Amino acid sequence: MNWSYLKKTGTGQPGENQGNAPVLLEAVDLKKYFHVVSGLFTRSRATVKAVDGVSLSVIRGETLGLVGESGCGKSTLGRVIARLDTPTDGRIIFDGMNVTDIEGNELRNFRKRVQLIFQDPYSSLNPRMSAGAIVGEALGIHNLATGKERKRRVTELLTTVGLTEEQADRYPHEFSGGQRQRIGIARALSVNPDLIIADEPVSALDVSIQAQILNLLKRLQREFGLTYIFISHDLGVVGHVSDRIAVMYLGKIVELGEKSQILQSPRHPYTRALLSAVPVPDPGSKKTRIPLPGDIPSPFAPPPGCAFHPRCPYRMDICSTRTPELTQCEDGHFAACHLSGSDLPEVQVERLR
Amino acid sequence: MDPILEIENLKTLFHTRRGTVGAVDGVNLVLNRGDTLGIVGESGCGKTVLALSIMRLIPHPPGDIADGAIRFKGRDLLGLPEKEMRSLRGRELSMIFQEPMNSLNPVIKIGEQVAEAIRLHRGLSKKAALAQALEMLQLVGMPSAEERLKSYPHQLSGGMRQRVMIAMALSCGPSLMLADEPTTALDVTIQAQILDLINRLKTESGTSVIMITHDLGVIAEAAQYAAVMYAGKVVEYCSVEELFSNPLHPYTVGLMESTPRMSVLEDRRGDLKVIPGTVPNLLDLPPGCRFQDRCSFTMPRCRKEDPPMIGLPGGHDVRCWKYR
Repeated sequence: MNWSYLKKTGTGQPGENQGNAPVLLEAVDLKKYFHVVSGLFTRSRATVKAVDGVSLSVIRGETLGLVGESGCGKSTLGRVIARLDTPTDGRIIFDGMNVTDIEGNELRNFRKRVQLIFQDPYSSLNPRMSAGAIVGEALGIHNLATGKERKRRVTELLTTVGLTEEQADRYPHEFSGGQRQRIGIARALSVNPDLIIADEPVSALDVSIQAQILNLLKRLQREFGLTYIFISHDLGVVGHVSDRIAVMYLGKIVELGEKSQILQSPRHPYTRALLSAVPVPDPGSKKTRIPLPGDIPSPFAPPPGCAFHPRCPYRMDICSTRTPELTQCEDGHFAACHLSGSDLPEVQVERLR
Repeated sequence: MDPILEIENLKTLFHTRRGTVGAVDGVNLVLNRGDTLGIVGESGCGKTVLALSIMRLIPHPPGDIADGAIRFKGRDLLGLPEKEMRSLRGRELSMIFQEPMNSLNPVIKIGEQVAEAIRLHRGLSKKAALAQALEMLQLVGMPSAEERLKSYPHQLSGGMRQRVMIAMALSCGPSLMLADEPTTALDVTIQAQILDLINRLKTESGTSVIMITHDLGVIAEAAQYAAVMYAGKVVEYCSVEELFSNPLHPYTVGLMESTPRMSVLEDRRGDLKVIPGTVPNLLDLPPGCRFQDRCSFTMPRCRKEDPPMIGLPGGHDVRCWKYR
């Protein structure tokens, strides 16, 4: 295989640079508010704080998993980082450059380096364009290749993601769900990006196909030294692919750390409850499920103080008045909880059951 | 052993312009009173068609229950006149669907929708039925149930809508409840609440449950017996403990290995094991075993003869030549 055009920067070890941790992307106090006009006559305006003060950094070559339940703002955060939405406040630093307000040519160059993969390969591909045209479109937009050269690159991209040259002339409806996701991946790969934001890339796929796509993403990361932000509601998937995991709840990151820290010693009660709620394919496992009453509160009227306090089994008086900051509780492990300094008492959970 | 439902050689066909598809192709299953049978499989394997066949809700045409028997409490449902079937549905057999928003009437208040089934099947007055509906909503843990009676479906969250569906399904004290991916559209914490609720209600009321899902974790937590379906056939059937401690069919093993787990021990650089290829086209099935092209144990026999269900000790049935 000739990789002449797709630059191969990886050495086969994702997260290889973590020792000196060169930061590829940094979000500083990022906010995205949506104003919603509700009521037919009253014209009352409500604000949804979809992303409410998120700070995080993405290290070159790593996979940062972003988990949370529906409505927690994980997709919006992904879109804002990719500058598909303009942040209401805060800064995005990409590779040392402030990209928060860039426009025109600068924005186009940024887009060449940050690509997205979407959940639904059925609606994110233009049904009237052939697979080859879809994959090659960005090559034209960014003046990367024309004519024969473009065709050659499209073929190369298709074979890289496990499709064949002949399939370039087919249309999206002729492909299965997994194959369509491969087209989406080839399209993202076409401009040779540094960062790929994958928003629920395998959620619409069956388990056996899901595994094929996860393995493909991993292989591409090794070969091209890609950095991923991997957004998913599925803790199994995120726990499998990530180096580090950020847990979101109502627009805020409530816990962030290495995968082992999050999975083995979660500090935030929400992370704990989330992990305990995942059904485990092992009927013999005796695990304690931390009951989490109620639903995620409406983002129109988030509870005062810590947004999680109405559902939290550990809630204290302070929780309803003061919002906990994301603070470091051990090396590289952050949690936003008034209790994060101390270990969560196990006994209390037992009593609640 | 007290079977409430026995399915024998069920065949549900769909006649399409391009040919006839055997969506459910010779399925045999038994469900004992008070048990939960989990049916697991990927999209297109026929698990939903199986449930709709039991409810006799297969649209005809193009659908057609061509052969077999579905004996519910000893009576063959397939032989019942539609009128009798209609009185069984909701009263004796009820079903919960994946997306409650599509199953609830958007312009009728929750209370009235729950009360409707109670009124129809139990002949209660409107007022008494509404009181019963309130009781059902409280039973399924609906927060501020009394106010919710007057809510419309769009005013509820996904988890609350699924609770309404369960309240409706249970309102007439059915003997058998079919749940088709009841938690797939829900978040994990809500999924945990709903699974706990179904388990609790089942123990309290003795209802038998058929739980259809693509998630092996849900099967492990909610079912006593499990049937794995592939391309219209049950390929493995046994107790849930047996399924997870001793999976036999290569497809079951493949499914388990390709499911990503939240394990820290697992090296993320290690790839997931994969079932290669995709599900075969039901219109163009190869002779022999339907899993042959994706299987790592394919023998010459697999390409010629379709394996029968082979009964192994411990009530473990598997459809694979490896075990003959």
